[in-house]
Amino acid sequence: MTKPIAHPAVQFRSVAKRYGAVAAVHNISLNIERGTLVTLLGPSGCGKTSTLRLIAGLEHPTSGRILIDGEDVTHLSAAERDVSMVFQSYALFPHMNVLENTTYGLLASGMKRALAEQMAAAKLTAVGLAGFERRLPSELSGGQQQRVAVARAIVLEPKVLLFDEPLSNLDAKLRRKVRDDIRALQQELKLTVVYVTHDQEEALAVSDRIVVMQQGHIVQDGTPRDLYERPTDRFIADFIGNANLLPVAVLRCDGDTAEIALGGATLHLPCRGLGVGAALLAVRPHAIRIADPSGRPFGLSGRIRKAAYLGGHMEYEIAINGVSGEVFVIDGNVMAPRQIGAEVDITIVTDETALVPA
Amino acid sequence: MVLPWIVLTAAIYGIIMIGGFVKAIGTDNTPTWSYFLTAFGIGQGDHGWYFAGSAWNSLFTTLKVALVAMPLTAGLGILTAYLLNRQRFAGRGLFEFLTMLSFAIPGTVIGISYILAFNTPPIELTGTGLIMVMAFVFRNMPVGIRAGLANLSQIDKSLDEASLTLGARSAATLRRVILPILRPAVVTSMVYAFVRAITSVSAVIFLVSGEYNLATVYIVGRAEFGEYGLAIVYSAVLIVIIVAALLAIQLLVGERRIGRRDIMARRTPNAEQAKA
Repeated sequence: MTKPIAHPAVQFRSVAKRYGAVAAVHNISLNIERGTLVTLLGPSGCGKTSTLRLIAGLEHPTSGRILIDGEDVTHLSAAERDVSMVFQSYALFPHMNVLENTTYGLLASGMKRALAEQMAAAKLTAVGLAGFERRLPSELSGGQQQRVAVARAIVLEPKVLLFDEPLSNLDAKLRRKVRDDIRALQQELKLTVVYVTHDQEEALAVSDRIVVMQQGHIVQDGTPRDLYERPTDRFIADFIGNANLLPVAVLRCDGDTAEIALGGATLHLPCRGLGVGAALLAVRPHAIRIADPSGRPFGLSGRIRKAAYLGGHMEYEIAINGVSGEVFVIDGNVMAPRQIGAEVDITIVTDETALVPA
Repeated sequence: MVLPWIVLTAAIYGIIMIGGFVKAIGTDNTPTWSYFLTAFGIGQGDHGWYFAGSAWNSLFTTLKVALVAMPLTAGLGILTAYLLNRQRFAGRGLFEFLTMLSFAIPGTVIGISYILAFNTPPIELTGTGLIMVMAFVFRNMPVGIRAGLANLSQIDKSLDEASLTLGARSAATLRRVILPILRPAVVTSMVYAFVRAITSVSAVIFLVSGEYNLATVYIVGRAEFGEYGLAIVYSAVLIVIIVAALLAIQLLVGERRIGRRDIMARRTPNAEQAKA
């Protein structure tokens, strides 16, 4: 109680985790602020789950320090840390009913059964499982099992709540709802949440902040908007939002604006610290607009290579004249689809486009 | 195909149950209590009732040895399974292989090995009850280990971890999560240890002594002398005792309560993942 509020909920000070010669996490430093939902995002094997387990105390760092609420917990076991985790498999105890599962942590901490059951019942109501207290986990659906896992974790009122790929065992329809439920619960209870996923859309939807990891390193750390609109490198641009990466030449930098050459066209973009020379242009699939060929001498043109009708939109692969490779384009006009082989004029919406280092 | 087997099996057990209570089964089927009374008679002397029958001594020894060996076998077996499944240490594979070895060696060889190993000081155990308990524990432990391993491999490690993150330490996790789920393995192991301790002959035939004789060895001895009536009546009593013990273990330890299996198979996350 005497501690000042200024401490971040979780602090990593150059934490590394090695398994023999293999490093799962390289010297990462990270602050997670109280009451925020921070997502660790990355492809499988990037170290995000190891990082989560380091916070939980299920793994211990090879070097560095971990602080929770300003207190050094580096050498504390999982049982001694004020952290709860919702596992990918939910890890409900199969021999205990819903109420017993939910009171487990409270009883382990020595609380009286009557009080524990009262608190557990309140949390079960909060996750919409009132009336299911006497059911066994095997008698619940996947979504209900997950809500029990959440109730079991939040009833302890942990300083940090961890989610390890919580949606991966749910079907596609349920995912969006559960995702929204988790976010709503986090905001309502002002929980500090660390959330691990490999799904960039999920990360964009729930997070206050996203930490993108690759091969045990943090490659970018920012708000969803930062990551989407201002990726720092080609990996992020590709991983988040599936951008087309086009080789371009930066011709000039006037203050903040760069003049670049792409194929036969010239574009003006924020230069973001890049100098004159080769660079990559990260173009989102919906930032490429196509139109009937006008025969104009300037600008970009191309030819449709592939076309797919997806109901709500069309997906094209287009070869741009003078640019190597093909670009992936999403176009809203489904009423008059382009034919394969058709010539089109191409405009790039520079507001949704960013320069990244080659 | 099935019916002849049923008839045959019923006939064998029927003969055992009846054979001890007739003069000479097959040739003289006059009912008699004489064999039963010779083996399990209770006399009345000056100081009250006493066990007069010739079989009582070996029966009590057998039960004592079996009851001591049962929890030891199950306990050591399950503990070994837990170590093999949940802990990492050098030589784990070799250790797992060695635990199976006592299964592969013929019982008589084990019996002779025990005599050779423990016949001379400093560890002189031949002819005691302890050497029989040891022989049974190590001979029957592999079943507990296998049952435990099979059961543990179905318990995801995330259950242990979930319990830890919920603030329960290792000991509490073992007691409140792992052991309750391991109940079927414990029952299997206890039942097997108890039944084998009562019924096995080969491993202990060289280990018994005048003071510590066992039921099976006693029966073999009676049969060798042509006293089939005694041997059969004793067998019938053993069958009754084992059935009663199995029922008692079942009642005491109970069946695992995890709900309707078909629902479980359909709804666990893993099953859903497999479908997807």
